[in-house]
Amino acid sequence: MSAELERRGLPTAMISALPPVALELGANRVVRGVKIPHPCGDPTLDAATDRLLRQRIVCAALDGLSRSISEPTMFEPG
Amino acid sequence: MRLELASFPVSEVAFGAATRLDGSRLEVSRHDMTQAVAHPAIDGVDLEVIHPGESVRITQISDVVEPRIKVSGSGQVFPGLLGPVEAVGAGRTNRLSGLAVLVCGEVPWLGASGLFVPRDNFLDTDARGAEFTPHGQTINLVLRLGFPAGHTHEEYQRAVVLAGVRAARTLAAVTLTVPDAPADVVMRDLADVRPELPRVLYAYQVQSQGVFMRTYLYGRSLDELLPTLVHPNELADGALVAGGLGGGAVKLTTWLHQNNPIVDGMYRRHASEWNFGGVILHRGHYYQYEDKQRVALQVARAAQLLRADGVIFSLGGGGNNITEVMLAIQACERLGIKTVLLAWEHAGPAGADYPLPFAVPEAVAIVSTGSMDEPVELPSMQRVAGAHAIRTRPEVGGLPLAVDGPLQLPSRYELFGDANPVGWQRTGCREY
Repeated sequence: MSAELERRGLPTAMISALPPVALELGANRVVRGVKIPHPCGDPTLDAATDRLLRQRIVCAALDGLSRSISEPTMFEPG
Repeated sequence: MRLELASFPVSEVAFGAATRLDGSRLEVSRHDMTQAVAHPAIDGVDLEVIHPGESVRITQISDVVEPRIKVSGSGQVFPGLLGPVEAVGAGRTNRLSGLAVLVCGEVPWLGASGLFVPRDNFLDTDARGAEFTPHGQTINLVLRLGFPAGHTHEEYQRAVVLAGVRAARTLAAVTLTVPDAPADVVMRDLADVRPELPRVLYAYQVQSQGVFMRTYLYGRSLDELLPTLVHPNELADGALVAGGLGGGAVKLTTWLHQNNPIVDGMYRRHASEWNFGGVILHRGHYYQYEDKQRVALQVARAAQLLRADGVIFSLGGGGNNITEVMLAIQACERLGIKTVLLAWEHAGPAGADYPLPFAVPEAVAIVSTGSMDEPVELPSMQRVAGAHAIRTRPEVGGLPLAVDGPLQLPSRYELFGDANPVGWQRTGCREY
């Protein structure tokens, strides 16, 4: 999906629990996610801490989208 | 650790007053089977026998088990599930060859979703569908369990596992009192080696992540398994049991653990072409990349400590478990250990997409066990054993698929045995 969207000129950022797999399959901006069943957060944390984590992950994705890159790049949530 | 596997072939099964073997004719008591499967989470069982040559579509299978029983040597078959945790794999074990117990039934969907529901399936005993499964050639004793409301999936799953292994051992017990000698006895012993031959291990991946995809070793769930070592004879004695509810293509049944064709092949040329060094048992589908890396390094470390020259890998189930295996292959190759992988193809209906979701450059020797995605046409069978419609598409809440007539399936997920991870099928390919 990421490759198809980019082919049509839309930059994408992929939040993935398996970043090397995403990079291998041609995603250009990959954000490290938490775990396969819940890449964008962590339900084992208390609600407030989970919310902060989710914000960091999404912000890393938005930050990645706003950067010009020349090769597949991984972005770590800050 | 020498095992004698003694085969008593069964050519005919009929229901009768008692469970007994007369030559190769097995009589099965319905009462004995009903008692064997009895469990609080079960309300009754329908029994049916299907012989090779019949044209039947069997639906909603959770497991297949081969009847076996230990005659001598420590422990008993299916250790830890039936009886105490005692080491198995030595002495003598009897099997009823040509007979398979199929544990079937419509397990309730209790509001679970996505991958985590009992996945319905079917197998055909004749025509095209029979190419994908050994059970077109076995006599199939179908135990169709009834699942009353008011229980959890864990309870249904426990009932399913115990039903299969109890029925299997009850049936195999007939061999203890027959006057006939077994038709053949196979000796299995890793001890005799020729030092000049390469040492080859089998890295056996299984699936264990909750009630719908679970495997047991000596009766303990492998949901938390990090790589461990087993002796292949332990597999023959049922130390490894498949316990998941339902399951589609690429599922490993207990029957396949007992009759693993890779283990058979490695034994066949043990001490003639290679020395079979043992089995590294591991699971895939870990949810974090770091855990997959841990699995990989431990598989490679085990291979290194056992002084392997080569390792054969197979997959347990489908999906992101390819990652553990690929990382393990990379780790082995970097230690100078050669690898071969048996893998399904997941390249879409036309086979034009990437066949594997993940690969490493070191994986240069891969054997395809078939496609998970290729559309397939199956003719109608003469009858259906079980529900006439199976539940598909759990991710959208479930859609019934009628299986009475001919089928044109857009993919193969419901075809039990397709792209079989240990290579048990009779399909091949042609290069153009």
